[in-house]
Amino acid sequence: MTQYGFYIDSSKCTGCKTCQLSCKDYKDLDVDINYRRIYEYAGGSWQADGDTWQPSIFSYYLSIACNHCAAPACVPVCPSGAMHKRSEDGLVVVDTDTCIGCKSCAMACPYGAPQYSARKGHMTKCDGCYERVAEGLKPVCVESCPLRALDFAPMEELHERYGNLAEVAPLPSASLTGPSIVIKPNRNARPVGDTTGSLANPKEV
Amino acid sequence: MGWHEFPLVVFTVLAQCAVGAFILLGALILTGRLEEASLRRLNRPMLIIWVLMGVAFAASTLHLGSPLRAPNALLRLGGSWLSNEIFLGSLFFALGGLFWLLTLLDKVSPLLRKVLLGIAMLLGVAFMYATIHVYMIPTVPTWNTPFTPLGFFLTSVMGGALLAQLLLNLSGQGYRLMARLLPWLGALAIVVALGSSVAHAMSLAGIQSAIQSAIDLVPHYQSLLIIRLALLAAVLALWLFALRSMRHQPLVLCASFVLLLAAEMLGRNLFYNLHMTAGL
Repeated sequence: MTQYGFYIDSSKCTGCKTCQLSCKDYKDLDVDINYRRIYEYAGGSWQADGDTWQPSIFSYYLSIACNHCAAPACVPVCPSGAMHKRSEDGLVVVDTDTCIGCKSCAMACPYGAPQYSARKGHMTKCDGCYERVAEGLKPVCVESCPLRALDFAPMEELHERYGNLAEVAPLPSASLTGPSIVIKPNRNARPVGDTTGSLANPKEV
Repeated sequence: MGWHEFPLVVFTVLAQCAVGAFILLGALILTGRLEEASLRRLNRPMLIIWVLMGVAFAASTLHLGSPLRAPNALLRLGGSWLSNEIFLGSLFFALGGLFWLLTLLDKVSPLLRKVLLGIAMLLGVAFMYATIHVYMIPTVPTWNTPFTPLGFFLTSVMGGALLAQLLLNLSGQGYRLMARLLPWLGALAIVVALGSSVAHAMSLAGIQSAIQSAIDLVPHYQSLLIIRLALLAAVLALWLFALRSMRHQPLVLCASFVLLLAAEMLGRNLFYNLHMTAGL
């Protein structure tokens, strides 16, 4: 099985949310549903520098959709089997004709990927644009990014090109679900487990 | 505090009380100390158990976005704990209800009925076990603690003991040994519930992700918890008062049970509001 995944360049990302909007447009999503969410993690403190105090502040963005995890938390809890991991590309997709809308997947996912649509009565989530991928295209979010901060490819290629980092604050430890992502951290990025910062845009995610 | 999971609050609390009462009364029936006439008198008000189960399951479908697809919830039997819970709960409902109906109509041999009763009691235990596992999600640090099984178990014991007391009373069998032991069981469970919910509240301080602290999830958590614990104390007071006074016993026990449902539904709603994941 080829496992596809996303590359997220947090050193380039300006938090412009074009990826989120192009996805919303392509997938025709309601206002309260975001397959891709941009988390702004910010914080800072003061350091004594002789007789003065210097601020050390940080703020950076992480554009997170579904990480199509190797061990997804959403799949084992699903009672109908609607939430499944595709054998051909490793993408985690919800079968909208089977889903009963019990929201178990949303409760379990530590990335907020599965989202319930009250209008549709079932769960919805990023499907990695698998139809586009099958045609040799990249997901809409990747192609729309004006900073070229996103990429999508088989995981071996991403590891070869960009390394192996799959966790920085405020993401959970990668050991929980094995997210299929590679992150290039922002120069101010805090390690996973950090609690010195806070989510600066809670109403946007 | 939101009430968005109210259907699940109703489902879990009512089912836990019903299973608890059924197992306690089932144990009494299995001991064989009940003559046929007493059994039939006790059986009639046990209909309340199945009314509670019916309301519980009806409420659970309101939780679904597509209730007409509810049967799909069984598709991952053996794989998903939610599938197991629905399957075992339905089977408990069906076989327990069958036992009740056969006893009412006095059909098939008493031995066969007891076998059916025993199987239904085991299914009740398995149903409760599955419910616990539905919420023991490794990525949800506020639920994946020993307080979840303890809290669910205590609801079964408190609610089950009080409901069993009420049913024994309604059938005029408040003199039985079990009826005299039930208040002790209830009091013990309520005292454990008081202590463990305080310990649970304190344990929340240690649970946080980068962007969320468990103690910030529910505004006024402590006040709401105190209201729940005060309700439980009132439950016990009414329960003991009912047994001491000779008049209106069923009515006062009924009032006590309604207060218990209020206390446990408040507690369960606090539980659902404590949902957070280890990440975003």
